[in-house]
Amino acid sequence: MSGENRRSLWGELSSFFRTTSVDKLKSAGVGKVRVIGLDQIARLVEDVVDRVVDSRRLELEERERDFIVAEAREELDRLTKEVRELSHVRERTMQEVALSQRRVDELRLDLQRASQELESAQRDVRVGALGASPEDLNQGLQRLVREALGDAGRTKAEQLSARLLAFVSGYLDRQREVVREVDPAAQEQIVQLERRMAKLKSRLAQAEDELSRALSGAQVEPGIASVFRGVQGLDKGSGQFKKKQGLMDVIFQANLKIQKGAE
Amino acid sequence: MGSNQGPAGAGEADAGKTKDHGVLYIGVDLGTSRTSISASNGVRATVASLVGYPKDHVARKLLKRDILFGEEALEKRLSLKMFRPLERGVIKGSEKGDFTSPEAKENLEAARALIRHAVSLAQPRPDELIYGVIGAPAQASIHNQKAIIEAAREVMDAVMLCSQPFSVAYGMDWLEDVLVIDIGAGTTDLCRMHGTMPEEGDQITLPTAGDYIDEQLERNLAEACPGASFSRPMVKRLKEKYSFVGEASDRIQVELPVDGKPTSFDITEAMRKSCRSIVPPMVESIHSLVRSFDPEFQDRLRNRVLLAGGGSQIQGLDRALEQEMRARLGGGRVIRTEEPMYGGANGALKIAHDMPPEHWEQLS
Repeated sequence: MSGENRRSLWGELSSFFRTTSVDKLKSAGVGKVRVIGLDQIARLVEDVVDRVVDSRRLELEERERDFIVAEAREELDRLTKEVRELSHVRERTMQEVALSQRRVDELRLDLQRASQELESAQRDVRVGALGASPEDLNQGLQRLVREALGDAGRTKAEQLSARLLAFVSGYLDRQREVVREVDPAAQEQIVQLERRMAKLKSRLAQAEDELSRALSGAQVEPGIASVFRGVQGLDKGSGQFKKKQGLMDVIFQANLKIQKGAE
Repeated sequence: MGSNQGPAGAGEADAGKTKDHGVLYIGVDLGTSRTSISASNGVRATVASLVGYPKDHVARKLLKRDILFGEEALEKRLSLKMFRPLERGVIKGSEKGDFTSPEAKENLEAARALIRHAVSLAQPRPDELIYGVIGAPAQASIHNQKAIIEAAREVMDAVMLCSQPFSVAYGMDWLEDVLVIDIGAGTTDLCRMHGTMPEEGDQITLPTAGDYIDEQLERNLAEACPGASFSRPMVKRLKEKYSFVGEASDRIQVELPVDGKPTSFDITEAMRKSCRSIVPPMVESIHSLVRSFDPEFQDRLRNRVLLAGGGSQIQGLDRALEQEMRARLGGGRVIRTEEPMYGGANGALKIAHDMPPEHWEQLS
């Protein structure tokens, strides 16, 4: 018996003791008392328990012992096998998760590159379409205003306005012409990049779904086992057995009717 | 008839069919407001009977799931198309037993998903047989019962339905001369037990239940808290926290927004009045079931009134009922179930366990 058990036994025994004084004992006519220590009592109880356990162990027949050992071994084998299988499943799932994660990362990178390419191509086309930078327009207008201020005394407002309008309209015409002449190859490149991006986006969504499925698979736990190995049924020793049996039959018949009808 | 077996490993004399890892029994309480499960692997769980589907592709991407349940769905309801698939004890939209309307179809699908989710909460092992009993509303139509069974068969090897109040009483081993009052969200079911399976005349279903209290409370709060704005979920939360009938131990002081500013209101009377509203119809029904019972056992019946379901948690309800019963029936005793949330599921689990193996086999 362990020290902890002995202490517990000691505590249990103490709870049964009552305290009395020598005077009280004397007054009750007791002149002599027999004394036994708590340790001794605990040891005695311990001996008895050990003897009972030993005798019970001996009472088990060899066949029963073998049966229990065989069952325990079988259960252990089953559990070991199960743990091994579960480890394999987990390992496989983790590999799938890693693979999916890699694919998703690669696709994201591809998408990012394609997006940058598209942006750059669009910028090039915009610049090409303008032919000259918008600063040209600003500079032209500034020049005109300077000239207009220089001739302020002589130039009429209508003249200035007409010149400004003529300049702006000429500028716009030139730009329209340039836009019409934009490199068709650049346009084609943009369309291609847009298509590629759409495709990459769809593949990325697919890969993300796969990853999410793989992750949920990785999180699947084997579940919690029921305490019952076999189908149970009403215990014959239970209270109101007959009544409960009748009720079970009624519930079953009602369900049979519904489910037979449903099939 | 099978004999009771101990825990896994003791199955030498197992009756009926077995799988490598045994049989998992599940008791389900499929309620309008909450769905609870109790399983023979020790798992117990409860979830609000709410199902939400992402409204669009963006929401689906954001939530990273195709379907959400219970409180989580409620929390993210702005991104979801929400379903509370059961209403007044039946699948919403199928009140006439017809599942052809789009509403009924959608709610049926949501109910199926909810049952699947409830079973998954029991964390069953894939290699175990799953036998389940579902406590369904007492007045569920045959079409509704079939729909529930079909949904459950997708995740269980065999399934049976039983009336919800019956499962509560069976779980407590009260099979004779007991009157069960199961106060749910959609309905209050009263069921008289007399040793055999309750018949139609033994059951009364009232629409005055949890949802009805919410409606009343919403109305009474509008009067008691002028200018305050509140939603139905807020009202429900207030009810769940403060519901009571009879004498209030403390005043109920809550903060509700008025023009966006939290403002303090005393809602004691509004709460009492709203909760009290379900008492008169309940007492009327108790009276009706007692007076039509065998006169020799009427006294016993009125002294064995069992209060179950989420609504039984209303503070002082047992005393209020006893008081009313004294006035109308000359007395009576009302007892609350110890576990209002799991009373139905525990009873259904017990029925699943007690069902003979041959019955399960026939339904497998």
